[in-house]
Amino acid sequence: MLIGNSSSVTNRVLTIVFATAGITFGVVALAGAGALFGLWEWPPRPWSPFGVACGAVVGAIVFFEMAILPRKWLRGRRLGATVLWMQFHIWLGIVSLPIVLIHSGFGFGNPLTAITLALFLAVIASGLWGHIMQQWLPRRMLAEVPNETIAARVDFTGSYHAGEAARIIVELTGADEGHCDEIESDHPECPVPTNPGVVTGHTASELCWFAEKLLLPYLRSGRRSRSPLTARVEVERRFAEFRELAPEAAHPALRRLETLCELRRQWDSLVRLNYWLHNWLVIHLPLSVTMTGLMMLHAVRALKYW
Amino acid sequence: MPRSPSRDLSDPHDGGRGYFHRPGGITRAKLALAAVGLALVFGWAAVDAGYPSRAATAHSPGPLASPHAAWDANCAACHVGFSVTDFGPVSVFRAGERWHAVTCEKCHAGPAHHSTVDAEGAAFHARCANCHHDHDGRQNALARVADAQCVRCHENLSAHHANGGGPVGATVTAFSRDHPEFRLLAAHAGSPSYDKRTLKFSHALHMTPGLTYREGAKGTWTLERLAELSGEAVAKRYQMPWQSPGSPVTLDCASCHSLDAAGPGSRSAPRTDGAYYQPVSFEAHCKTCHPVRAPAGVSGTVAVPAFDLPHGVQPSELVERIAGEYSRHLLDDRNRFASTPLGPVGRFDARSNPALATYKSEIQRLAATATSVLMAPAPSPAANEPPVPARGAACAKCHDLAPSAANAALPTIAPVATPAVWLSGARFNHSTHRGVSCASCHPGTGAAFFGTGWTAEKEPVRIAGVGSCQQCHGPLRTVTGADGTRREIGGAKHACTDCHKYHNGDHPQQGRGARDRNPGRRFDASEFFRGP
Repeated sequence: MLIGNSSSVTNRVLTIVFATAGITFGVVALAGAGALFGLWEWPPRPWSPFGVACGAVVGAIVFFEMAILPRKWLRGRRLGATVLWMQFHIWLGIVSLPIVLIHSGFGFGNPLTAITLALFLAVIASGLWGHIMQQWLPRRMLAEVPNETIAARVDFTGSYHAGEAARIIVELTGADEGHCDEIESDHPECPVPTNPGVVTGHTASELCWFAEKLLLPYLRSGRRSRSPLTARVEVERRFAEFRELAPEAAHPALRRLETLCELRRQWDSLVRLNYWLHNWLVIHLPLSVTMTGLMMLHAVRALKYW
Repeated sequence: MPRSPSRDLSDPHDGGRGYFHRPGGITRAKLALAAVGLALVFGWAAVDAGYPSRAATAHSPGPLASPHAAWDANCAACHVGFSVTDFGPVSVFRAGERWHAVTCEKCHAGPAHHSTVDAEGAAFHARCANCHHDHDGRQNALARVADAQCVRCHENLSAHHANGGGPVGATVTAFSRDHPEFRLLAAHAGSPSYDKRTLKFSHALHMTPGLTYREGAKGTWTLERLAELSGEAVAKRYQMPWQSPGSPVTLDCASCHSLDAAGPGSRSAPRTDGAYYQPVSFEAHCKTCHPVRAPAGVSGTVAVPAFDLPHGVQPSELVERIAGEYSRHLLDDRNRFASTPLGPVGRFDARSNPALATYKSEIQRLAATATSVLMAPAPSPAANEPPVPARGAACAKCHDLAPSAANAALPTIAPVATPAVWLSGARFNHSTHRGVSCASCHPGTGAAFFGTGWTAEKEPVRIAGVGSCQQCHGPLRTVTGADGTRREIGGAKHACTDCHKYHNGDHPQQGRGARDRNPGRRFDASEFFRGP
């Protein structure tokens, strides 16, 4: 566990929230107490020795936080355990929040410092958001997607399954009957049930239409196909009907098709959960890079002009 | 042959196994946005480097005061320059203090505020910015230092003074609360006279119509008498609109005191402030009634009329002037000495010419007579006379005559030590107080002499104490009078810098425009506006 040892997601999320709030108020109170004892003035001024020291500490923390990028690029070098890096990344990030507030004198200052501080707060917020997501979503993913696969390969695998489904349909309806002339498999190597041509007549036509219009697009594109098969009940209803109409020998193949639909539905969930698991990085990383750059510019300007 | 279950898991992934080299949507988005962010940072840095004034303005804590507005975006015009080498592991933490190091003295020369502060105080005063805070808007007056800056030391001056204390109060926290008495008055508190005063003068007497000790007294000054003594023009100058020529001379404050903003006729260059009154001078204000004249004399058949003498010279010089004037009269063409033949090489030689010896003795006799009249000591009052000041005539009427060390026969006259500005430790503007009568702040100057009894021959300092100032200059407050009525007083400005100008600004010849305040080097216009 990166934060806390509780198996309860709620407990871990609350730990993050309360740790952030507690550390922030605690450090600020500590600095306030120091001012009471005359160690520095209050509110601290950014250019005072204490303010500059806070800025230097935050600068060092930010550089360490950003070092996780090269650490990731060079992960083959095994520069420390990933979990250790992440623990320091998270805890130091949280600790840096009150230090930045003290450094800023609880104000925004000129445009550069205001933007830098706003970006910093956004980075912290997005990081906390991402961390909370990472406590919550994996547990949900375990529950919703027992057949987890690689999220980036869902469409590729779905296409493979669509090829398999096409071959099953063609075999079930009999390749020579001409019911499914429009259906071609992209993956002729896929294994198929060994009861060819067991579904005939109107049922075969229905099955072919179903495969062509609903099943195969769904397996290829998932939710993007806008297929009614995205709903589990609809899948169960449709295949229950086909099982009523088709002979017993076709049932294993139909169950395989239903399984493929279930897999695709799970993977759709996987893609959605994976999106929420990582989309905060779209905010966190660019803002971190921008904030770090502006922070360096701010440091140069501050030393020059303050 | 049945398929292995693991094939079902692995087969769908056949092909395209390098997928992880191809970034997904989220990765592409974050990298693209990070690139945009970096571009913004570099753009910002480029603008900063290309337009340093823009960066300077952004870091300015606020607009400069209007006299400095030309350098709003030019930090180096006032702030001490630096380079990267100026920063060290320790000094970097005090980078902010660097901006308090300003080069005011490039344009603002002048003496330090205090020369008697301790080492800590000297270091504090060495930085102008410790008290004078700019970047506080165009209308900010840099010379208006907050009271807290002064109280910082003056609330416990002994702790900050190199000698353990100065001539002013050791504890001053606010003008209306504990400002000490004016130094001049505190030094002479309880004294009937100002011991540095050497001039005998009574405001009460001069404010009495007719300038006399008793109503209807013999020596009453009338306009007619004044005209006889100094001419009609002088008499008209002192004649009030309602007075006739026989009326007693009636003076008011303006008869002798004129503001420095006085118009045509002012003895100095006209100024607009009207802050101070011009010094009273004998020639302008006293001579009309108190001319310095040698008495008329007679030598044989020659009558020498009374003649005016210069004021402001010591008796030793005055005697020579008197002798010279008598000599000039006796050598007139109509006199017998003009026909006396000259000696060898055209010189008067009393040793070879008995007539010239007589001439010399006559000059000496007349001069001695005149000197004895002018230098006569002031008589003591008789038992039945009222004790009045400024008795006697001629020099001793107004001046103290002291025996001279060089010439026992001739006294010396102590110079008049009346300062042009009495309270030189602060500034005061008479014209802004014109709504108040002069006697309100200068007690004893408005009352007529009659009935006042004894008046000191040498007046005390006719300035009311700091308490009279504090009535108006302090926080607005309600007071209850003796009759039980309540009224509000105070409210007028009462900050330290409302009266005090530091850096010796109150000291004569040290104020604005004084030579000591000239910058060490003058700049041409372009250099000046670029930032000296």
